[in-house]
Amino acid sequence: MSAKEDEYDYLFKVVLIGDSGVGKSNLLSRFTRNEFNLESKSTIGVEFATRSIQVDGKTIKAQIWDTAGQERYRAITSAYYRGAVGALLVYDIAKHLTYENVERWLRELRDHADNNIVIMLVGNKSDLRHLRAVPTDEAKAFAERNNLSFIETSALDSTNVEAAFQQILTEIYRIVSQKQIRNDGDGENSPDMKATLNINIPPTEPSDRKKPCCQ
Amino acid sequence: MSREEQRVKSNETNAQQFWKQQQPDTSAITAKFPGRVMKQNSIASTVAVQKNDSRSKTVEHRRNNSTSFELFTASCDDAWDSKLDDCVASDCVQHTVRRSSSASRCRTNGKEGKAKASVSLSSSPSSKQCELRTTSAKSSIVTSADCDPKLSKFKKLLFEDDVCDLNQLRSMAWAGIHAEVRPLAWKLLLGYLPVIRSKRQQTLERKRTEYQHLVLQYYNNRSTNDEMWRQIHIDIPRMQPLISIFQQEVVQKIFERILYIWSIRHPASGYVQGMNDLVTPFFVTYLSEFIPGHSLMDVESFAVSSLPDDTLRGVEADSFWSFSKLLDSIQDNYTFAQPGIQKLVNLLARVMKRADATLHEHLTRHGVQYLQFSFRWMNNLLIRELPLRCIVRLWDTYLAEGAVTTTSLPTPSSAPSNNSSSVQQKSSFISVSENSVWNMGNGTPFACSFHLFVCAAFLRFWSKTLLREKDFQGLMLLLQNLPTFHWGDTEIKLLVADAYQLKYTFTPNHLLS
Repeated sequence: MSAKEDEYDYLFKVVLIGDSGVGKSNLLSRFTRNEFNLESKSTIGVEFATRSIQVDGKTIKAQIWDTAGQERYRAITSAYYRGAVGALLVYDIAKHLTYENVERWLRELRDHADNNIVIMLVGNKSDLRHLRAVPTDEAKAFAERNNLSFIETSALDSTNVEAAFQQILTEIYRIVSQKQIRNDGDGENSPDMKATLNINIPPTEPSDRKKPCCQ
Repeated sequence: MSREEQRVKSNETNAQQFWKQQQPDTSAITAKFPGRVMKQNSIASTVAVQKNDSRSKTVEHRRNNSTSFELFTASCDDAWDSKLDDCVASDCVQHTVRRSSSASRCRTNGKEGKAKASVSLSSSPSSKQCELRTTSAKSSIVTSADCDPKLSKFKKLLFEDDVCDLNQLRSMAWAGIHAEVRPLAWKLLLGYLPVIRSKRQQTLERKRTEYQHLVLQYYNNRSTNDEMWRQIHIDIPRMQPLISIFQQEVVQKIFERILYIWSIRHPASGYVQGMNDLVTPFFVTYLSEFIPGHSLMDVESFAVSSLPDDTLRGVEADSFWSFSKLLDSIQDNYTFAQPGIQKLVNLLARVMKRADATLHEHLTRHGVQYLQFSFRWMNNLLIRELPLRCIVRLWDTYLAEGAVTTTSLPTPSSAPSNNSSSVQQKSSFISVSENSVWNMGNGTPFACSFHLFVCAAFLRFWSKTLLREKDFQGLMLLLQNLPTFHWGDTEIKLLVADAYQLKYTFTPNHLLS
């Protein structure tokens, strides 16, 4: 791996959760590889992918864990919530049940994830206009009531996929950089921090190349 | 494919060199993948390469090594040929003499773990078998399957003997079963059909009728709001998307029935994602019986609806009962919190710590946890990691091992010959019996021993490639997509040989410490 790809200013761990078949894996493959597969295999346990984006001239590397949607895997997948600074909670706009289950997923996050995790509600499959079962306004209102950001996406036609990840990563970045200013000097990390991937909030890992201005 | 196969026959040595040349390449490509935006997507993803032939060819071309790659691919494509067995035969004979000494060294000294694969390969089949194979190797080129002594022996055991000697069947099956006789051999090894030949047809009919009753009782009365039904329904259309047979509606209905009926009758686990994969090897194998040539490659694209309903119902029922036998032995992989899998993953880490300390440390240093990549290996019995044809071949050995573990070492002399029917009752897919090495003395709470060692062998197969990855993401991305799409019989033989080696190198004491 070349040094260039290894360089980043921040490393954020994000989880993709939601019912089975809502398109989590395709959102991830669209974002990280620009690929979409109509018959992608079901996710077993968890799968990992990564991509870096730029925010305010800083390189942010997102380490994304795609989880299996089935209930039986909950015990395994919930272990991955720990240390995550962001969660994309995905439902299928054409399947109302997957939207109803959002509450259950929020409880899961409350039970297993860090308190200050940034959550974004994602209504996927927005290309299925004729099959829509969840009105945008309803989901939007729900998100506001629960302090979640909200977006509708289509992994199939790429609508808003980039925007969804960009938005949540930017939001995390803002929170983290604010915190960093407050806790100036607290973010001292051992040199091998990057290798151990210890990423709790504050999940910043100043790289050797560029240090955030506050350091 | 046949064209390529012909080419490879002429140049097998060159093909064998493929790994040495390609491994660095593969890792380099994968290593470049992480973090990049849509640049190398076509190269890094195994699936992508598999999906798009033309694209994969470009990649090969870029590697400037297309000839050896194609040759290698083709060389691995002969999982059901006898010729590989014949190739091994000479090894087999060479090592027969040394076998006992090598085997005992392996057992007494863990550091002997690096002994040659050929030694382990030869230590499983009976010496009788070796003689037979030698004969076949010497007797010019075997062109017709009927002339193949191993196949004849399988046929005699399965179709002529009044009582099939299961121990003999096992010892032969370990090195791979001929496609032609595999369906019946599996049914016997699973304990689905009795060893007494005259009783088989009757049993088969009874079980098939019984299954039809289950369909009426459970499937036809199902509630469509059922959560389990919903999950099965979501998963089946996206099962093995690259194999056309599984996209056929008839086949999807068959899988729906098998999975739903099993799940409703096993509420402790119910349907768990990935179980659908576990039906596939049985289904294609039993279907192959009705396809000319019995080739799995042909089965994968076969138009199933062209078969008579009655035949299909038989295949479905047999698949169901075989799948049930398998799951009975590994049900705690799928109950709440999946304790069976968690145990196996921990044991895998312990085996690896000793079997390949360098790799184990490398993974640990970069924060890779075994659960992160091997959960799926256990949950789906490697079906997501290997091509289906390889899984079928691998399961020949699993089925043979499932019962071989009832004796301390599967040497022909130590295998009891008089209790075949009682052993048959106990025969389970990959479980370990009470008498096994694993449970002796300290009663290790453990099943699935052979699969565990196959996973360990599989992981250390990639050792060099993995050691080249220098960070967490490089390792994870590679581990999730190990490039096995061109694997065939040769690799599986090496894999099971290494697993066999590991199994007899490690005792439960090793792993408990």
